[in-house]
Amino acid sequence: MLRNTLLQLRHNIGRLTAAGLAIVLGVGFVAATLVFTGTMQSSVRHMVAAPNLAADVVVDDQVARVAEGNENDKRQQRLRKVRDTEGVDVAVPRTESYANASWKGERYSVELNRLPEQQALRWYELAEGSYADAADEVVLSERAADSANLSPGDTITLQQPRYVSPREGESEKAPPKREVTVSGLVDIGSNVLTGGSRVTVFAPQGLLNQLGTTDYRAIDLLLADGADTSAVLDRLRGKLDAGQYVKVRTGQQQADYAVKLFSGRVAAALNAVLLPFGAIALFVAGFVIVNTFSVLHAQRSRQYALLRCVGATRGQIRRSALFEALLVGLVTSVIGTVFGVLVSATVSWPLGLTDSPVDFGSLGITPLALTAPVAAGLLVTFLASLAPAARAMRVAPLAALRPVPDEQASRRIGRARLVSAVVFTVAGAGFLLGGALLGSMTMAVPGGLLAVVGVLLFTPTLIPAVARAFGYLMRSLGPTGTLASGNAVRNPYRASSTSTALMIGVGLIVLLLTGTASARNGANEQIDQRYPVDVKIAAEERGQPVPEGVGQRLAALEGTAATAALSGASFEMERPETSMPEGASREDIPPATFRAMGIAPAKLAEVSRHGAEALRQGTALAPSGILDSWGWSEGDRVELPIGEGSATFRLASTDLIRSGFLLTSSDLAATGAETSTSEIWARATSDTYTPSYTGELNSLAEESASTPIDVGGAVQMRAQFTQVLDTLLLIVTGLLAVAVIIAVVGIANTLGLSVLERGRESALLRALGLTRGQLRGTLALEAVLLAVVGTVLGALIGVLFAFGGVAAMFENIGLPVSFAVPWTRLLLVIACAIPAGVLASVLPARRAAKAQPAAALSEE
Amino acid sequence: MSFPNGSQQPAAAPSEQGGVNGQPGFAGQLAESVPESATSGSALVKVYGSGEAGVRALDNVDIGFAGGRFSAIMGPSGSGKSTLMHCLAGLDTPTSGRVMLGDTDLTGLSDKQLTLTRRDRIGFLFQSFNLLPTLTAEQNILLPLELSGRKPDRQWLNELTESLGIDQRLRHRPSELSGGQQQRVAVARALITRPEVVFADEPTGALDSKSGANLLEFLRGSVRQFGQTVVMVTHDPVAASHADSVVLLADGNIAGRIDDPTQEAVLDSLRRLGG
Ligand SMILES: Nc1ncnc2c1ncn2[C@@H]1O[C@H](COP(=O)(O)OP(=O)(O)OP(=O)(O)O)[C@@H](O)[C@H]1O
Ligand SMILES: [Mg+2]
Repeated sequence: MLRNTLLQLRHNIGRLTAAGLAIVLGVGFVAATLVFTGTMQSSVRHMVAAPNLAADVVVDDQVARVAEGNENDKRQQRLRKVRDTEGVDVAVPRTESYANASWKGERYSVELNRLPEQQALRWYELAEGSYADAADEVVLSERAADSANLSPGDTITLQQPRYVSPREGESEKAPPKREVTVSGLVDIGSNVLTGGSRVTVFAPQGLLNQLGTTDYRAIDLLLADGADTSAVLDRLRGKLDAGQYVKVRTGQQQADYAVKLFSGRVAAALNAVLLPFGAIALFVAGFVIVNTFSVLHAQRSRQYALLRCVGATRGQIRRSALFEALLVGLVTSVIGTVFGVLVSATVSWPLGLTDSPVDFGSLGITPLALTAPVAAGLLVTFLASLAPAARAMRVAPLAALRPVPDEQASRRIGRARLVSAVVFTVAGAGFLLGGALLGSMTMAVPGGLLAVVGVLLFTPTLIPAVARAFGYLMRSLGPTGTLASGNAVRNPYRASSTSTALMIGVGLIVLLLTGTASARNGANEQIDQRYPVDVKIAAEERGQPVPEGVGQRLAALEGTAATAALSGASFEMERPETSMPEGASREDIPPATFRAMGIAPAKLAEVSRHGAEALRQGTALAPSGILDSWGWSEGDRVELPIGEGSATFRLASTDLIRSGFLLTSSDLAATGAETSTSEIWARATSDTYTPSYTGELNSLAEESASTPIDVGGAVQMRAQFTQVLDTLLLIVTGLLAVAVIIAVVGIANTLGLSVLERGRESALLRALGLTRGQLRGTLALEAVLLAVVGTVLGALIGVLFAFGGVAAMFENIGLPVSFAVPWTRLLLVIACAIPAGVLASVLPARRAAKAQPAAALSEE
Repeated sequence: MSFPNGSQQPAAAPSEQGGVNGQPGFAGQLAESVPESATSGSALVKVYGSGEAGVRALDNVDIGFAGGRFSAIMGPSGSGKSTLMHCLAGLDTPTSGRVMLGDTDLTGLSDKQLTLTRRDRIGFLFQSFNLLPTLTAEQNILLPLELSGRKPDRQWLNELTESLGIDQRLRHRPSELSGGQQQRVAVARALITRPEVVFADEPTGALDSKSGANLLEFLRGSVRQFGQTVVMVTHDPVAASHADSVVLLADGNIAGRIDDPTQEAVLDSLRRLGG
């Protein structure tokens, strides 16, 4: 029996190619994911551990990171205590912060770290130039500096980032700016995933002081010669009352801790994101395997019957079938794993995780990364072969005696299956709908999953029915269309599992497309709500006037509908007694600086989308945040000390500005305050993201390098949101593409196997006068039909589920439901089904067309 | 239509019988019937495989079948009957020699031209597996017309299906028809295009004797009534006795010919060929 199985397997090896390819792709994906995350983990390990290993002892100071106000003093005290501890030679606060930088006319965000004076604490190696020794020198991380085109001798400008909008009453003075020279480059062994694309600046303490960068996350200690480490640790713990937030560890301990904390979490997160896509790919591959074995067993049914005639038991047939599946699964899973390792090697190299595409030593090939994909592939193959094996086992011995093999009777869907399909679909859809109406994700998600199971159970009836409907359309294409539509559905199970595989992949992609389109729509509505002005231009340095000419250039841009310049004046104001924080007195709190801007109401109506009607003569508009924190309410009359005297205004809240006050231009002029062009507002012609307009705005900002300006407003928000969503969509679609490719391989598989089965039919058709081209056309049409049915159903189901999910999610976070169907992208996806189908039919069609009319007609 | 004469033939393979090596034209023992031949082959050689393992299925055969006649080909198993028929019908190309259908030389045609010739000018009947399982009986019958984009002649269809007794079965699929009915559907399909020649390879092989006899009667009737040309390969002396003449084949050579055959005459000849 075993020998027979092996012989059969060898005989049919060609027919297993497509199924094997499906498993290789699915298993390869899983293996690539595991190896890649492993590689990343080990490369991150070095980055995270190295700074800690340089120090003898590390004081991990979680408080220092968030310290503010008088916490700052406690932090200073702690640092002093550490320095005074017996056995401690030096204690250096480890600053790890961010800064804005600019070089060669471009602005960047960089990491700003402290460069310790002690050589022992410099955990990197100097690659070029020399270490900085003056307060106007810095060293940079080599790899990132190279790609940013920076080398020793270049100058860069550094500045601490300013808060996006100053808190109420906070000073608007810009942080100090320093121009420094690059003295050298150091190799920190960074890569893309550890932020290696961002330049790290190592600055001496003097420079950090000048920039006002004071926070740190840890203190690195070097111990005096001969000091007893554990004694020092004890002394430090006692002195610092170390607890939840302050921990004292040796450098090695701290390194281990950091590695565990960081890389474990990152790898787990990456695996959690990527592995589900591997699971989807394998699931889809399962359909291809089911089909392959179903067809194989059907083709062998006479052989099985003969075996049964000569005394093989059902169990033997079944075991033989399962053994065959496991063998195929094992071989292809091993190939898939090797393939996955190769893929992750090719991916890791350009990311800087390894030194070359064949640097297998640096790959994180763990035992798990090698065994888990094989196990997964085996499991999927085994499960997928259960049903076909059970059917093979049921072949009656008599079947061998029938003169002509039965044309496979189209098996009907079982009653139990139909009932459970209806129950699952209806109940699932009900829960999904309920969840959508009530805004309950806990109801919508299981509902959606239940409905998916229901629909999957339905597919053997659903898909042939839809295919028949499409088939009627194809009949108009003449005899090839008639033949193709008949062939596509002659075996409902085969057709349905072929199309279902595609349906799953396409369904998920469409779900995402629709979800993101809806999210973008909802976000745009929210942005419109919260940002009534499309474009706001201000000098980057608060309080400075907007440079001359910016207004005209903005007005001249194509896509600008209207512009308005706002004059502005700063003023100081004391907090009213009633809004003082508990226990605080007037002396504790300095007066706050505000900015009042003026605009003519008619102009405001032109440049804002809503909220302009609130601005009237004698009214001051302020964001509700100011009203709340200063204890005012709408309609209150308050005196604002703008200009020489002070005038009384009626307060109203607004979304037009984020800080300060907005007055009519005549009210502002009447105060007699000295004003300058504070901001320029504009309304865009389009109310959706327009890449060209955003680009022009950005170049407008770049042109004004002498006095840097900020471009904000709804246009920028829409651009950011759209770009983030589109990037996410692109990545996820790319990951799902593996499943879709497997599904297309599945179509080719079904077709290829059917072509073998229908060899005599093809020959008969050729004898009767079907040309080769027509025969190929028939197969292409059949494939297109299967592809289109899977795609259309997938799109439909994707949109429906997205509708439920989006509704539930929006309700859940308390936003008005905003649902958008991305028609163009949807049609594009469906249109892709046609070339995909044609592509899938190429090889099977070539094979079918080879059939010699005469040869295939002779008796077996 | 005229096609260039078959100058592409290589010098024909040597034949033990001597005879008509490489000579164009129809010389040979059946020369007298040649002028009216609906289908004919001259110096036909068909070799399967090559070298030592090569099988010479047709060994320099000259043959012609007259139009408007019901002809049978007989011979022991493996004598080359099917091969001859496949070559004459344009299903297979001979290794050398020439095949004529009416005044068309089939040997010079491309695959596509051959396909169209089969579609429009030849009808087929096989022992089994004549019908496409996905199409109804009527669709099967009309398939050759559909393939060529011609309009079906409804009256001809009715006449055929009525006289074959399948007019009530046209909407059924092959799996819902008996073997005899399936075979009659195949006959209707073979005749629907009013082909120049109908080739049948053991058309009664899978039928019981009564259905077989009916089918043969119908074929004979079509020859008598409509002047149809039918060439049939058969093993069965009873089937052969329905034909106007029988050509005997042995080891890839013509071994004789019987006009107006009777069962006994056929059996006798076969016995002499020694099976
Ligand atoms: N495709 C092929 N490849 C190799 N040899 C073949 C092929 N087809 C036929 N033959 C050989 O050619 C010879 C003639 O075969 P053919 O099928 O014409 O015989 P036949 O007279 O139709 O026999 P039967 O009465 O059994 O159908 C036989 O020896 C056969 O083995
Ligand atoms: Mg034969």
